[in-house]
This record gives sequence, structure tokens and C-alpha cells, in this order.
Amino acid sequence: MKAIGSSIDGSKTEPANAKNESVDLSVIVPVTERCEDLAEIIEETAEAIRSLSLSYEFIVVFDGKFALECEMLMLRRPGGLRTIRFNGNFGESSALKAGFEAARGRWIATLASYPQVAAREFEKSYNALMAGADMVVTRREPRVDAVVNRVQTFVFHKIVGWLTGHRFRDMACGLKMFPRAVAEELDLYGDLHRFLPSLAVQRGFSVVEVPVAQDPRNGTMRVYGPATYLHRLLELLNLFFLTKFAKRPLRLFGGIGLLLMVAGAGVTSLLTLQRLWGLTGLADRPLFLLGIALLFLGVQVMLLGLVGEIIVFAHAREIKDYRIDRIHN
Amino acid sequence: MSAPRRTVCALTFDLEEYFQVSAFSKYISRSSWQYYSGRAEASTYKILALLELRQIKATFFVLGWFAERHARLVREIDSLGHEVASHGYEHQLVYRQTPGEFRRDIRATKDILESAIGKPVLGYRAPSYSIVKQTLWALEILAEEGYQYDSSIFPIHHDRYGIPGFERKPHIIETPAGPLAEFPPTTTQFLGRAVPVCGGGYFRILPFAVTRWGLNKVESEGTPAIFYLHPWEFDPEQPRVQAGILSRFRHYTHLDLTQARFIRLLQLQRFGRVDEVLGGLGLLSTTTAAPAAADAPVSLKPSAPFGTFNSVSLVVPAFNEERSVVRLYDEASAALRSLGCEYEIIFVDDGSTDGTYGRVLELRERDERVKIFKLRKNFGQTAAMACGFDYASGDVIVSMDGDLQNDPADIPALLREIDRGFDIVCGWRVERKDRWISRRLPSLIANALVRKVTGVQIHDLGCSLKAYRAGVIRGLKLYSDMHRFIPAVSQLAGARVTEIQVNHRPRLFGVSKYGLSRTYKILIDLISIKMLTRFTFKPLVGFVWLGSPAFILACGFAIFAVNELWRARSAGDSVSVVFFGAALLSFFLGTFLLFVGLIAELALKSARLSPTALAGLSVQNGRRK
Repeated sequence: MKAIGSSIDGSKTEPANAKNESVDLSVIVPVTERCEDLAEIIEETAEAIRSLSLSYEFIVVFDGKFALECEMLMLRRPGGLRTIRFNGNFGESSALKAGFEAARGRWIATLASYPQVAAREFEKSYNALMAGADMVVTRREPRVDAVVNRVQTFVFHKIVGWLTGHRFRDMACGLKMFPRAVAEELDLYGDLHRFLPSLAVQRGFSVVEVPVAQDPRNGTMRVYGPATYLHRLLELLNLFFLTKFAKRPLRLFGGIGLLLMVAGAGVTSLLTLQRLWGLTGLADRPLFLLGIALLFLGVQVMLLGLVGEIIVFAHAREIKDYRIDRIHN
Repeated sequence: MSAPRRTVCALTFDLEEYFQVSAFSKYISRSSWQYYSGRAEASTYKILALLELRQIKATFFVLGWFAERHARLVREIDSLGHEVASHGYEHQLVYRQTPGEFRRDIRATKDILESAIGKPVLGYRAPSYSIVKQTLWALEILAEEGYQYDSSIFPIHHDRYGIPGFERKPHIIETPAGPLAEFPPTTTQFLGRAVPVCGGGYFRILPFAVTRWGLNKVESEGTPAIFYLHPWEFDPEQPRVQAGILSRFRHYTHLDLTQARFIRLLQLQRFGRVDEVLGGLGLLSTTTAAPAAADAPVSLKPSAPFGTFNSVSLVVPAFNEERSVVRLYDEASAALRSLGCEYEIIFVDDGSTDGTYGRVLELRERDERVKIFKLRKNFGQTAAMACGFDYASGDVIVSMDGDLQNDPADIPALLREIDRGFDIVCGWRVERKDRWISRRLPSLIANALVRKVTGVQIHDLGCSLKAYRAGVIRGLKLYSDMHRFIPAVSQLAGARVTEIQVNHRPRLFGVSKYGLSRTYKILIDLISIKMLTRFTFKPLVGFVWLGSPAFILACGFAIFAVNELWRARSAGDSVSVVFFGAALLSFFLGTFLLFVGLIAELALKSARLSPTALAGLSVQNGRRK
């Protein structure tokens, strides 16, 4: 993927495969959760965009299980609507990605499929984008959610901020806006859509967070099952690994592996010494098994890290550690 | 362990057959030479090939007798850019000759050699260094016969040669017939005595470290050394002459090691022809001593200052260096302009928050050879360098820090090394101007460790001032803190790496951008690099190799387990499972590693990585592209 375009003096880097930009704004709505109010949201938002006198298109991407809802929306035929329906349930990251690929606008806005932000706030984030930000994200303020949800959100963002070094306060808020060139540089996969602003910051984009009013319909208390929390935890682990060690996996694996190995070696050598001094036979020390297990676990972790290093090294040609802003060639 | 680099060591070979060695003259008379078949020609070609691979030029002292029989080889030596000099006609010791015989001997040899190569022969080395106290008259005759230098007076005690206490450094001897430069075989002071360290049996028999120590010592005295070997020393299969024990020891010990040691030696220091070394000291009178210039290899562009490349890109990553960049530009363009070849200066603004970008824009207004890449944010030095390397258009890329601690005046010296055939030339900041505890000590330890682990003899991995052939550095993508290990990784891919001493200046502006915290990262990266360089192209072998101790351990524990079972059964005890468990765990580990190795193979295959792709190296018609 080559993100560098022409060598025109001082050119802002442009995507190499610039498509025909037929509209100003592509609004992408990934539908992977509830979407009962989708038609109203689209209408309200379209109204807001029209008041900014922009041309627009809506790209609604339905996950497989929302086939029926997709048909229903199509029947209402709002103007400027394009829909994509997945064959299976591929998740929000895939939906966003498909939306980015289909988008024809100069700018891209993403929107939640359920009422989240008051439509009139659209103008606010558009203005922030025009002020020169590479990406505008929003935070709902004041929050009308239940306290439980607010605490969850706070803790989650605290951890993400600590991991990535850049703190946002409401990454789950669906309304985001950025030029299409930015979208093409973010490579989304898995559950990383949640961390879109963090990814943008890592690639050197300037990200601005604007406060927006929350839609009152959004304020109900939501309780998730334990599986959801487990997924969140794994996402965080993944983010932690990818941001800190994606290029040097051994720096994580090696450290952990060495600790385990030292612990295991300590236990086994202590017991072996006791055996040599004639205190207790090794056969009578189940702790010996723990020592061996720790030692070997350490070796395994370390060597898996090495496999990681080999994978990264083998793909080094595809790694690009830097992003160019301007070229004077 | 520090290697001499600054002075050039003269490299010499005495071309004679194994049966012409003076110590064997008792056993093989001059008249029986015709019955022996020569072996020196083949050995000499081996030596020439070894030198050619490293683009090193040397001096060959050739016997007249040998040149008569191998005129083609002598011409070949000359055409490859080596110096041909005289070793006398028949390996007759000078102290066995009368002055008249000596004059005829060296005159005949000079004629034979000069008619073979069509150039004047300037140098002489007496067979077995046989110019001793009684035969110092030979120097005058040498000068009279048109020789300009001699390398025959060994300043040591020896049963066959030597003048103890003789001047040890190269110097001019004023003879009645005119000046003659004398380059005594190199010795060094040890316990108040001169001991020979440079060549022949001293090199073969004693451990390699002695020669390295000697070269270092001579280097510290600031004089160039002269190193000598014979073709027969590269010929372990030569027929053995049944001479006395001492002679056999001197001539036949470690013949099988010479070649490997010689290759190690060539990495230790720069080597050259005797006439160039003496010329560099101002000891040769005429300018005919520079046949290299008159006979330079024919290149397509006769005006090109370098034979192997036409253009140079200087890559300077700059992060908040607004006070340094202008001065750096001035110094760098002065150094690059003096080269007389095309160049560009690439500034990579690594997300500076001060006026760096504005400054380099101003420079660009003045000079269109300035190229600027402004990064979106601070991505770090390796990334900024990678950016510069990716967009550089020169055949050779030079990288340096933006903080003026490197001296742009060193660039021409780096480029000369590239032109000599190296792919990567590293700077070595011998006198670092940094704080001792926080910068220099960790760096010393890290460098020594990296040398030990990777086996790449580069002293200063952290020095940004390096020159690369563009093809080599492009194949080697930089990521994370990889730049530190470029020499190690590229050597894996067959690149030729060397280093030269460079200047290092104290920081004028700004603050240093590193801390002490890198130790852990470097340590772990080192493990990774070691494994990558060993196993990248055969991970399955590597992992099985690493896993084999686990299988051995499993067998060991299994024996204990069976023993325990036996004991418990005979004693009627309950069986302890500890050894069974340990055996199983070991077995699982070994098996696990086997499969991990397979996964690594899969990863490698999917990336289609090969050694040649790695470094972008290929050799076409003997020249690296």
C-alpha cells in the first residue's frame, strides 16, 4: 500500500487511487446492533447535512443478521441511500471497511445505527473538520446514561489512554468525521474499530474531540453478559500488544519467558541441591514438577516470541514505520 | 579489543617455490630444482582471488627465476593493480654473494620483471632477509641499480638473519649512490626487545591474537606495518622436505590454518601496496611511485570521481534541530561538493515542533539539491531514516544525525571505502564526546555484547554516520530499532561491511534524545537478531535444534521413572509420579517446538523471503549492483 502520491512540490499526500469524488460527504452507518430507529436517524441527519448545503450519500452496511431490516429500509427509499448487505455476520470493523471502500465523498462521516447523538450536532463536528483536523471524534456531554455505564466507559477509556498514550473520553460514540484519505490509511480489522481515534493518532493524524449533546433516547441502562466483558478485555490485550510490541514481539514474550524460566530454574535447582545434599529425594517432591513446568512454559513463551519476530522480520518489506505529511522533492 | 584502522598496513608476498626455501637448500640443491614441479603458481592464484574479493592491493616480491617461468602470472599480478617487486634471481642469500654477483643478480631480476610488466620495478626484498651487518654494502648497489626501496633488514636476533637494534620504522638510508627507503619487517617492543609480529611463521605458529596485539601496538606507535607471507604457506598439501626438526617446525606448522587466519587478518585493518604506503609517508622520491593513478581501471565515465557509483544521497533525520540544520547543511554541502559527483541532501523532519521545517525550507530555496520529507509526527530516528532511504535516489546513501555531533567532513572517507568494494561502511566514534556513565559505558558494553553475539566486528553500532550501497539498504527494510543491527543482518545476506574512524563532536545545541532505559530492549533485540540471523532461512532446523535437549531430558526422566516404578513395586510402595510428569513435560516441550518450527516455516514461506531478496544483493560480472 503506497500512501504517497505525486512528487508535486509541497503536496499534501493524496491517495494514489483517487476515485471520482462525486459528493462532498459519505455517511457510513454500520448496522451490527439495534437499528429500529434507523430510518428516522437517516432522515434527521440528511436534514442536518442539507442545512450545511453539502451533497451527500448514505452508505448503510448491514451485517448478515439484519437482512430483514435492510429490506425494510430499502422499501422506504430515502434519497441518496446506498446499502451493502453482508452474507454473514462479519462485525463492525468489516462493515466500516466496506463502507470506506464504497464511499465516493471527499469526507467521510460515521454514524451509529441507533439514536446516540442529537442530529443538530452534526454541524459542530463538520466545523471542527473544516478547521483543519485530520479526524473529528465526538463525546456525548452531558451523559444521560446510567451511572453503571458511565463508570464502565470511564474505566475503559482510562485503560486505553494508558496503553496508547492518548486519551479519548468517548470512543464508542459513533459520530466521527475525516477525509477519505485518512480512512484509506487506517487498516481496520477484528474489533479495532473501537479504537479508530487511537489508530489515527498512531499514524500521525491530528484528532480533535468535540463535545456533542446526547440523544435522549440513548440514555437507557445497558447491562452486558460476562462474554462481552471478556471480549472487551481481550480487545484491550490485543490493543496493548499491537501498540507496544507489534514490531518487536520478543520484547514482551522474552521478558515474560525469562521471568518464568528464572522462577522455574530457581525451584528445580533448589530441589536438586536438596537432593544432592541428601535431604529429600526428588521423587518425593511434587514441587519439582511445578519447577519443570514453569521452566518449560518460559521456554515456550520465549520461542513463540521468536516466531513472532521471524514473522515480523519476514514481512519487514511491508512495514512502514513512518507517514509523510509533505514532500519537497 | 580494538583494531587499528587509520594506518594502512603494507601487504607483501614473496613469490618462491616451496623447494627454494633457504632452510632447505642443504637438502635440495640449486641444480636439482628442475626435477621438482612448481606449486607456487596455483597458490598465488588463490592469494590473488582472496585479495580480489576484498579489493585489496598488495606487493609481490618475485624471484627472477620464477618470473622467467611464469611471465603470464606476473603480468596478471600487475594488471590486477598489485605491485611487482624483486626478490632476487635464484633466492641466493646476499651474504653468500660477492658484491659483483649481487649486482648481476638484482640487475637481471629487475630486467626480467620490467620486461614482463613494462613498468619500473622499485622494490627489493632479499631472500630470507639476508641483508645483515656484513652485507650492508648491498644497499648502495640497490640504489645504484635504480631500486627505490628495500625491505630486508629484520631488526631482531635470528640464526639466519637480522640486525638487532636496527631502526624499526620505515626510514630513508642515505647511501653514496643516493637515498634508499628501508621498510624493515615489522616488529614491536616487548619486554624491551624487538619481537617480530607480522607474517610468515610468526603469523602461522603463534595464536592469531599475537598478530592482532602486535598490529594494535604498532598502530599505537603511529607507524605503518608491513606484513609478509609466501605462496607455499597457503599450500597445506605441499610435499614435505625431510629437513631438521627446527626447520620443519618453522615451515610446516599450521599450514592448514594460514588461509582462514589470513581472511581474519584482512578484516582487521586496511592493507595496501608497499610503494603506496611508503609514498604516503613521503619516503619515495619520484612520482613514478604512483602507478595506480596512471593505470587506473578503465571506467565508462573517465571524469567520474568514483569507479563504482555516480551519485550520493545524504539522509539527515532531524527532530527539533532548528539551530543545527543550517550549519549542518553548510558543512555537508562543502564536503559533498568537494567530491565532484552528483548529490542530494535529504532532510527528514521527524515531526519537529520548533522551526526546523522552516529552516530547511529556506535551505531548499537556496539549493534545489535539498529534499525535504516532513513526517506527520515524531516517529523516531529509525523510521525517519527509513523514510529517507526509501526516497533517496543516489547510488550510495550516507546517513548522519541532525545534531552536528557527526562531522560531515568524514563523508569522503566513507565513500572511498564504498568505492573499494564494501557495501556498508560504519563510522566509529573513537573519541566520543558524551557523558561517560549515561552514554559511553552502556554503549561500550552493548557494542561488545553485540560483537560477541553476532560475530560482526563493528565497534560502534550506535553511530549514525554510515554509508550504504543503495541496493543493499533498500532490500533491508528498517523497522523498530533495527538500524543498530544493520551490519549484522546485512552480513547475513552477504554484504561486505567495514568501519572507519570518524570524528565526534560535543553537542552544541539541544539536548540528547536518548536515555539509559534502552538496555533491556537492546538485550532482547540482540537475542532476536541472533536467532534471526541463524535461523531465518531454516527455522524448522533451528527449533528442532533448540528442542533436542528437551527430548534428551525426557529420556533421562523416563529412566528415573522406570527405576522408581521398579523400586516401588519391589518395595510394595505407592509409585511417585514426579519423574513420569517431568518426562512427559519434557517430551511435550520437544514436540511443541517441532510444531512451532513448522509454523515459522509457514510464516517464512508466505512472506517469500530469501537471502538475496533480503539485501538486494546480486553479483553480476563481478561487480555488485
